[in-house]
Amino acid sequence: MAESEQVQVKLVLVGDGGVGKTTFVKRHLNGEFESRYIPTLGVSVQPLSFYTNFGKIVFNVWDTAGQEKFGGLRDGYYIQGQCAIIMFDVTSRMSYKHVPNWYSDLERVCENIPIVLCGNKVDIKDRKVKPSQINFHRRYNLSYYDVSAKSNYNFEKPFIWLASKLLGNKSVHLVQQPTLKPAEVPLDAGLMQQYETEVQTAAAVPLPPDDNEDL
Amino acid sequence: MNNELSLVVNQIEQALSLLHGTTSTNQQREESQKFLEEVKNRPNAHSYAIVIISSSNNNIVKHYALHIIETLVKTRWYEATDQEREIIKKEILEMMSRISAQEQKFIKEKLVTIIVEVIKRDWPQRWMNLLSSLIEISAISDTQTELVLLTFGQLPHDIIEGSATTNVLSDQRRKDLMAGINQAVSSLFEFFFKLLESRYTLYKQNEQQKIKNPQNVHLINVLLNTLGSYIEWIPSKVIFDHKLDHIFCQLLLDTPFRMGSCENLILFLNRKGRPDERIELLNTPFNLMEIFFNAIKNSSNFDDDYSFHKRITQALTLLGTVHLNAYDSKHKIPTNYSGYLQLMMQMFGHPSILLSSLAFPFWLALLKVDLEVSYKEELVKQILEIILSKFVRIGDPEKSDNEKSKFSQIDFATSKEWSSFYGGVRNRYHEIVKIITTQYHDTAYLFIINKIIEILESLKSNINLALSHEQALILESHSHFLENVLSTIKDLPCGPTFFNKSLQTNQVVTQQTEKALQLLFEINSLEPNVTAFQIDTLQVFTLYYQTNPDTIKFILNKIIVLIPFPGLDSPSKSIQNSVLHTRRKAISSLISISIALGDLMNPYSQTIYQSIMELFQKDAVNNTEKVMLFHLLIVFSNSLPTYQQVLAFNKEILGPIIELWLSPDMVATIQTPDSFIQNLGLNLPDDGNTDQIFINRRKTLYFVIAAIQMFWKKCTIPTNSSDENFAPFISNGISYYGKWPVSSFIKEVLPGLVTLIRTIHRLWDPVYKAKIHPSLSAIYSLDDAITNPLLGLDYSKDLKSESQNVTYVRNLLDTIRDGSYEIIGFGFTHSDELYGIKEIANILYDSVFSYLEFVENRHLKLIIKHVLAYLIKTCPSKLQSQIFDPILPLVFSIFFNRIKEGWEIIATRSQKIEKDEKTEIIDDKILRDFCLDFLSFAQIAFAQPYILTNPDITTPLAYSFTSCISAADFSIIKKAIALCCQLVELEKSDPRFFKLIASEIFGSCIKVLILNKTQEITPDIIALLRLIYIKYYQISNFPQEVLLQLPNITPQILQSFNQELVENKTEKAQKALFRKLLNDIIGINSTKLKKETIHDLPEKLYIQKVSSSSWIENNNQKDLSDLFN
Repeated sequence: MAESEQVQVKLVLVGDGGVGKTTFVKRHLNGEFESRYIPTLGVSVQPLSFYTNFGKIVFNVWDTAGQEKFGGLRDGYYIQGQCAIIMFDVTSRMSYKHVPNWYSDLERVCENIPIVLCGNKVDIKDRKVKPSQINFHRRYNLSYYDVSAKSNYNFEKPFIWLASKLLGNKSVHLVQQPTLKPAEVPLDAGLMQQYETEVQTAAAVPLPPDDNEDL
Repeated sequence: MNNELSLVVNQIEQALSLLHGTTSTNQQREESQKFLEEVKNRPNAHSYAIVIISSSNNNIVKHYALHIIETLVKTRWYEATDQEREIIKKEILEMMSRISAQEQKFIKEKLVTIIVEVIKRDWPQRWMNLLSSLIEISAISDTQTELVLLTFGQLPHDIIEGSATTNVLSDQRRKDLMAGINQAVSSLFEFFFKLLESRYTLYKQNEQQKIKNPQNVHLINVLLNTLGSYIEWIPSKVIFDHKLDHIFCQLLLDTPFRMGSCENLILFLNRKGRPDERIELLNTPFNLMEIFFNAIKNSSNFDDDYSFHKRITQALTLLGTVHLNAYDSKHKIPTNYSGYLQLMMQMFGHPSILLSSLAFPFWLALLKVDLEVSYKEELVKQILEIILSKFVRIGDPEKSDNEKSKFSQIDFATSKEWSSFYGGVRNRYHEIVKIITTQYHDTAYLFIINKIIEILESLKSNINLALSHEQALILESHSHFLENVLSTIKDLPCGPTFFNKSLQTNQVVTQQTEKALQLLFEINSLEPNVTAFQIDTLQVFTLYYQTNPDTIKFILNKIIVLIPFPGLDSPSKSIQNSVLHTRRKAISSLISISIALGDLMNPYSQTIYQSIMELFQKDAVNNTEKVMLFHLLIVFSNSLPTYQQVLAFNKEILGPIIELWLSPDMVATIQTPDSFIQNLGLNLPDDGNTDQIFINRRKTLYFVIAAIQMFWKKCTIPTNSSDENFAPFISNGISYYGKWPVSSFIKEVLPGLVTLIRTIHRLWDPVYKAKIHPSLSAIYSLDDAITNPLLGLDYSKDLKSESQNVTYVRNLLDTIRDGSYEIIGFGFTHSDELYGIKEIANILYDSVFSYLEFVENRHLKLIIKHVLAYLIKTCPSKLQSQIFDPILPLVFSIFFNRIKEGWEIIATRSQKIEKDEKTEIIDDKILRDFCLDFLSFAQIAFAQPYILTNPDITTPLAYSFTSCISAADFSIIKKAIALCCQLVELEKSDPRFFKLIASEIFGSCIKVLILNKTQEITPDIIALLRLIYIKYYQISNFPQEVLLQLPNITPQILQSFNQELVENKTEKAQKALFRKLLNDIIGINSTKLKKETIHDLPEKLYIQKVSSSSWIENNNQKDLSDLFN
C-alpha cells in the first residue's frame, strides 16, 4: 500500500452495556467530527484515524448498543464488519462471562475477521477479572489488551493489532500519535504491566517479612 | 406486489443502504435507524418481510427482513392471528428449501434461530408435521441438510439447558416440548444414523478415490455436533440401537472427525446414572482399545494433534474412572485392560504437564481401588518413574530449550501461570507417591534409593563437574522424592522397624541404604549444589539413624565440617548465594536431625558444642549463622538434666550477648528516636555512609535482638530437674511447674526492650520520619521481596535496584521489632516471668502499646500475633482486670478506627488516585490480613469471660466487628458474623450491652443487606439478625427501632411480624420470615445464564472436576480477585 493511500475499515465494537465502549471511542479527537452518539437507537458510527507506517487508516467504529432494549438491528450492524473489538469491564465478572456470547454473535455474521478482546476500566482498583483469569482470547486466537478509557491506557494497541492483521501480519506502528482527550486519571504504566503477570499465588504470601538474610 | 408494499420495501432498501453506506453522514444513519425501527414494529411488518425474502438478493435487506420476523416471533407471536402464524411458518420453511449453498452464513443462522423460536412456541401441538417437513427439506441438498441439522442441534440447548431465552417459556410449554422431543427421538435418530451412514460411506469412497469433498466432511462434523446435543440425556437404548458408541470410537481414526467424535464420547461416558448402568457404557470403548492406540498415532500437525491428545486423554480418564467407581468383585476386568493401562501410562508420562495431569484422576482412583491384577506392582514402578521425572521442575514456556516447553507454550501464557499450575500438579504427584509408599513401602523406597545411588555414583566419578541448572533441579527432585517416601514410611506401622537389620525382611533395603550413605559420606565436592543435595539427603534419613544410632557420628563428621563451606574463588553473587545457602542448609539439617533424634544425640553434644565453639573462635561463621548455631546449642541444652546446668549454659552463651545489650553504646543508641537515628547514621546519605562505626552498631543491634529472641523462643523448661532452684510454685492463683532458666535474665533484658520498642514505634512519627535521610526513606516501605509477588511481579535478588544499606536497615527494623514483640510474647508463656512483675501493665502500656497512633496496620497485625494472643491466653484471672482494663479499651479502639477507616477508604475510592496504586494494593492486602488476624484473635479473647464483663473492652471490640461486617471481603464478613453470633450467645442479657448489640450490630447488618454487595453472605446475615431479634425484641426496643427506619416497614407490619415469629418457632421458619420481611432490600439472586457442559470446562480444571475434589471451591476462595472484594 502506498504511503499516501487512505484505507477505510469497518470495525464493530461490541460488549455488555456500561462497559465503556462509547467512552473508549470518544477518547479519540479526530477534529473531523463532533460527538454523534445516538443512545436510544442501536449504533453510533465514529471514524477514527491512525497514521501508520503503511499510511492513514480510518477505522469506522460501529459502536453498538450493549443493552438489549437499545439494540436496534443488533447483529444487523455487524454485516460487512471487517474487524471487531469485544469489550468487557474488568470490574464486572458478568461482563466477562458474556464475552463468549458476543464472540459467537460476531462470528455468526462475520466469519474469520480479526477480533481484539479489551478489558476496560483497569484504572479502577476494585478489579474483579484478573489478567490470569482472562483466557477466552487464547482459545480463539484473538488478541487481548487491558485498556482504560479514562486514562487513555493502551488506547491505540487494539487498533494497531487489527491494522497489522488486516494488512497481512505486517509490522505496523504509528508514525504519529493519535490526538486523545487528556487523561482524566493518571495511570502508572508500570503498574499496568504488573497486572499482566498477576497470579493467584500472591494470596498465600506471608506478611510481614521474615528475612534474616545477610546479617 | 401492491404499490404500498413496494414503496415501503424500496424505502427499507434505501434506509439500509444509507445506514451501511461508508459515505453517509451520521444524521442520515440516525434517520434511517429511526425509520427501520418504526417499520419493524408495524403490525403488518411481516408482510414486508415476506416480500423481501421472496424477492430480494441483497443480504443486508434479507437479514433485516428476517430480523423483522424474529422480532415478531419473540415479542408478538401470541398476538398474531392463526393465519399470520401459518403464513410465517410456511414462508420460513419455503425459504429454507430455497436457500442456496452460496447464501451467507448469517442468513442461514438467522433462519435457524427463527425456526427454533417458532418451535419453542408452537411445536408439537400446532406444528404437527414439522419433523417430517424438515426431514423432507434436508433431502434437497447439502445446504438444506446442514440447516436442518443446525435446527435439531439448537433445539435441546434452548429447552433443556435453560438458556436465558427459555425464561420466556412457561413450565407447561417446556413439558410439552420435552414430551415432543422424547416422542420424536427414535425417528430423529433414525434420520441421524442414516445420514451418517450415507455420508461416511461417501467420505470413504472419496478418500479411496482421492477426491476432496470438504462439504461432506463439514456436514459430518455438523452432524456430530448435533448429536452432541442429545448424547448426554436421551435413553441409552437409542444410542446402543444405532451403535453410536461403536461409531464414535471408530471415527477417532479419521483425522477430520476425531475431535467431534471424541467430544461425543466424553459426553457419552459422562452420562449420569447408577454405577451399574454406567458400566454398560464402557464395554465398547474397552473392546475397541486398539482404535485408541491407532488414533493417537495418526498425526496431522503439532497443534491439532496435541489438542486431540488432550481430548482423548480426557475421554480415556473418564472411561477408567467410571469403571473403577463401579468396580467390585462381581465385575470382571474389562478386556484389553492391560492395553488401556499402557495407553494411560503413556499419557501420564507425556512431556506436557497439562496432558499428564489429565490422566491423574485415573491413576489416583486405580491406586485406591483393590484391583485384582497381577501386574499392579509393575505399574507402580512405572508410575514412580514417571513422577520422579515430573518432579524436575522444567518446562517453563518462556524457555524454549526443552521439549516440555513446547507444550507449555500452548497451554500457558507466562512463566508465572505455568509455575503456579506446575506447583499444584506437583502436590498431586506427592499424593500418589504417598499412596504408593503406603501400599508398597519396599518397592517405593528401593526405587528411589537405587536412583539416588546411580546419581551418587556418577557424581563420584565426575567429582569436579560443574552442574547445569537442570542437573541441579534433578538432584533436588531426587532428595525431595526420598523425603516424601521416608516421611510416609515413618508414619506406617512398619516405620520403627523399617531400617532394623535384624527385623527387616528385605535385606536389600539395608544393603542399598548403607551403600547410599557410604557414597554420601565419601563424596567431597566443592560444588554447592552437590553438597546441598548431600546434606538434604542425609537429613531425611533420621528414621535410619534412630534404628542405627552408631551411624550418627558419621553424619555429624560429614555435616559439621560443611558449616563453614568455602566459597568459590569467583566472587559472582549467585555463587555466593548458593554457598551461603549450603552453609545454612548444613546448620538447619543439624537442628532438625537433633530435634528428631532427641536423646540419641546426647553422646555427641559435647563434640558438637566444641566444634561450634571452635567455629566461633575462628570467626568462621557470620552473625546469622551464629544465631542459627545458638538454636542448635539450645536444642541440646533443653535436654540437660538440671536447672543449674541449663542456667550455666545460658550464662555462658547468653551472658556475652546480654553484656552487649547493656553496653553504654547500645543503651544510648536505643534510648530515643533521635539517638537511634544519629547513632545508626540514619540521618546521613546512603551512598556516603560507609563509616564502620554505624555499620557495626547496626550489625550488633541486629545480632543481639535476634540472639535473645532465639533464646526466648526455643528454650524450654527442664522436665526432670531435682534442683533446689527448680520447684513448683503458685503465683497469682496459678500453679507453675517451675521457673524457666531463661527467665533469670529478664531483669537485664526487659528495660532496654521497653525503651527499644517505644523508640521503634516513635520512628513512625512524621517528625522523626522527616529526620531520616531521604536516600533511606525506602526503609519505611515493604521490601520488594514481599510486594512483588503480591503485585504479580517476578522477584529476584539479583534484579534488586535499591542499595544493600537500605535493605539492611529495613531488615534491621523488621527484625528488632519482630524480635522484641516475640520476646515479650514468649515471656508471657514462661511461667510468671512477666506476670510476676508488679507494674507489668504500665510496662506494656509504655512499650508494645505505646505510640500506636503512628504505627502501620502491618505492625498492629504483628502485635496481635506476637503479643496480644499470648497475653489473652495466659493472663491469670486475678490479674485480668489489672492488666486488661488499662490496655484493651485503648488497643481495641485503635483497631476499630483502623478497620473502619480502612474499609471506608476502599468503599469511597473510585477513580481518584490519591497515592500510588502499588501502595494501595499492598495496603489493602495488609488491611485484609490485619482484619483476619484480629478476628481470629477475638475468637481466642472470647474464651476469657472477663472480656465480656467490661463494656469499655466489649464496646470497641463489637464496633470492630461491625466494621468488619461492612468490609468488602467475603471471608472477613463471614468470620465477623460468626463472632457476632458468638457474642450474642455469650452475652448474659446485661442491659449495658443492649444498645451495642440490638441497635449497632443489628443496624450494621441491615446496612450490609441494603448495600447488597456480596449476596453469598445474605443467609449468614439473616441468621444473625434473627438471633439478635429473638433475644432482644421483647426486652428492648432497639431492634424494632432499626427495622422501623426501613421505608417499607410500618408498626402494623412489624406487629404482625412479631406475631408470626411467636407462631413459628423453628429456626428455619423464622429465617424465612426475616427474608420475607426484608425482601425488598435483599434483592434476587441472578440465575446462571447458560448451563456449562463438560466441554466448556477449562482443561486446567478438568482433573479436579473429574476427581470431584473440592479444589475448585478452595481455589476460588483463594483467588486474588476475591482479596479486595
